[in-house]
Amino acid sequence: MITMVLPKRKADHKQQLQRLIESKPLPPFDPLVVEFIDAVSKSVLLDSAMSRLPEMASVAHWMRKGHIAELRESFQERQKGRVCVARGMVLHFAPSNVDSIFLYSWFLSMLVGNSNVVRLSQRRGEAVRLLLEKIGFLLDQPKFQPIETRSLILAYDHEDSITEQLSQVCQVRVLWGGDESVRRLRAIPMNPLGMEVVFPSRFSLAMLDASEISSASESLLRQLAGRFCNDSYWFDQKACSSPRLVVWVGERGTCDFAKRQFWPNVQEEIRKRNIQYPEVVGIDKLVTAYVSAGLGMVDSIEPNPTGTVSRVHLSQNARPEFRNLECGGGLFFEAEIPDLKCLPEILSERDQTLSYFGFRREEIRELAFSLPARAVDRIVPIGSALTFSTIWDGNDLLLTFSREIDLE
Amino acid sequence: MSAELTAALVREDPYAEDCAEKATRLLAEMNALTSFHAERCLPYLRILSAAFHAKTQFDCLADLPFIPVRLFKELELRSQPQELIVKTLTSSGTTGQRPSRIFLDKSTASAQVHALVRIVRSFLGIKRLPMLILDHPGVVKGQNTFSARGAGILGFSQFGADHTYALLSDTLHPDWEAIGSFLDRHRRERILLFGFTFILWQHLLLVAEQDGRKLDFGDSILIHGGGWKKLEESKVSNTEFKQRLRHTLGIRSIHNYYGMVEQTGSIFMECEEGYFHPSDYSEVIVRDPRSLEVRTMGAPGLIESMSTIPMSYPGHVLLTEDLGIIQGPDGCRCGRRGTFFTVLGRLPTAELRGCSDTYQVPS
Repeated sequence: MITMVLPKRKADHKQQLQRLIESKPLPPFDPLVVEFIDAVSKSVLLDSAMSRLPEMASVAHWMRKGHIAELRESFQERQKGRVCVARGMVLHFAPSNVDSIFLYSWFLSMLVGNSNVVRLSQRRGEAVRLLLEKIGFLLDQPKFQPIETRSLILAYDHEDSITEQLSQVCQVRVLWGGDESVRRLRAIPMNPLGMEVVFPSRFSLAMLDASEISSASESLLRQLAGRFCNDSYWFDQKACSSPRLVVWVGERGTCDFAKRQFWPNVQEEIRKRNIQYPEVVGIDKLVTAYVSAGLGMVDSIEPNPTGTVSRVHLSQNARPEFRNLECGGGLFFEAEIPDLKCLPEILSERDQTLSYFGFRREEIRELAFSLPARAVDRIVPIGSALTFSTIWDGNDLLLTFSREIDLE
Repeated sequence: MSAELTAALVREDPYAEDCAEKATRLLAEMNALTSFHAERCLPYLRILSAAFHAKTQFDCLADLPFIPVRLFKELELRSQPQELIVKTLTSSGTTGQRPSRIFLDKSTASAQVHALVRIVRSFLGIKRLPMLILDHPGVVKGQNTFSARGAGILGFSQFGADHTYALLSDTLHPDWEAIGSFLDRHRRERILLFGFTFILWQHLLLVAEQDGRKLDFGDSILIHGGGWKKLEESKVSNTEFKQRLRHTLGIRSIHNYYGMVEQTGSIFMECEEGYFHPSDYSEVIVRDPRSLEVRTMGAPGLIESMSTIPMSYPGHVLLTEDLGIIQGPDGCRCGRRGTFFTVLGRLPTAELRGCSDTYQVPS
């Protein structure tokens, strides 16, 4: 079943697709597009039920006029007088784990002037339903008609034939999703002139300096726990950027002390936020913990593995595949390394976001230059793991969604 | 192990021990099994090391190292070398999930038979009864691997004679002719009916009701199992189930059993009062689904099922995902001693999708 979600008034997605194909690209950062995005931001912020949701609040914040102006500045700065224009039509496949991604992908592409087709899954959260309603309302306004003619949001599940039709007419195909769905979608042929950007499953980790934690004040520890909880629990630990491995850097004894300082604060934060999952999630975590142990990936399981914070200790010789043991809901692998220099040894190409606490900027820069091939695309302070950036998985999305005209 | 097993087999009634007696005997057997599997099954030993400080001896049944039953879908758990495995049982498994794989060696397979015989004989008596299988013959095809349904039918076939299938293989439609001639052959005899709860409901009872057929199975005893999940979805209670079977098919005595492919043999039979009873081979406790602490009598929780049977795989202490209530230690009005309990159904499933609006209460 194919549902045309937006624009609301158009009955037939084929007609709307034709309008997209026939539309000329808009210039990058067209004032009307900036105004539209700002209007979406305002309508979210004015809805108290929506702006209370942390995910929607950060989306709305990202869409504000001021922030878009920053994006334009850095876009122009990176171009340094070169000429970059829209590629044409971009086809986006939204992931099912983080609902807001489709919006970033769509709006960034819209900002550089493309027409956009967004494919959503039939299963969507309530927040996204409300968000789409607001966007639909704005698209219906006559002044935003140029955007309306360049936008098509479809919801369908596994109809490969429609994916193929869309892939034949787009200039860029953007795939966000799990490895399986990315693999399936990549097998579907596309326009020979088109290009593809893929964002498959990734793994993320947090890294803390044990002695910094050991000497941190109570209030600093509380703040840090709050930021760590944002990174880990906003999307039930299902976001690619949410940490699933916590690496302690320091002497063994200091690491043990730091853990006893850190985790009770995380527990307390979870209690305060009243985060509680259905009972079966605890059982999922118990099963994942025991499977990890059974496979030799984990050598110790902390008491209460069914609780909201479950901790398992990574075996010395765990294979990189422990990253596939995934269940979400707050299951953390833990490891200790004596020195930051040892970190590259435990990294793998699946690793995306490294969030950190207690390191100096120079140390982090040095680490960035010693990373193994492909591993780690973002290094950010704990608390910013989920902050969306236009640089994602090593790609500058604004540049990826535009093409450069070679002018001599 | 075998001396104890023999001793248990000598006693006729598998429900004669009271809770206190049984706890002592069972604890020794369970501790022996834990050591046995820890020595022979590396993944199991790793789990004991990671979660139970590698301990194998415990002071009470509640402390025993339970493993989640779902582990048999995720790991290959075997305590005997592959060449000694004579049979592999698989669970049907819900869609998208891998099935459980249960590896049986000769002695575990025969211990399953012994246990089942003693338990079921205490309900049926020693004489083989004419047996009508409320399923189709296609389920038992297959050489060394069996579905839980096939294994159940084969296991119970030993209590019957003149085995007759009540459903047609290709359509699953009732074979009214075969049923009729079976009943003609065994007028005034006690007959055994066996089937899977949902299959016999869907493909026999509902069809008979729709066709307006009424049968009289006479002096009959029905034993059925396989779970209530699908009936629960159609909101059919055990009482209603029994009433309608009695009304349309004239079945006099109906016993559900609760069991799992991971502990084949040591099944829990439903008594005349409607309660499940652990036998000499098994025990249950109930745990809080969140904390996994043992819950007291009368409080619902996850069923942990113990069995003395598994020797070729570490399945002697399993945490199920079924909810149940311990109704009492000893003292069931049916006369059987020991723990008795009820099963409420599966722990509700839920999938984390990652939307922050699903579970978090905004601060």
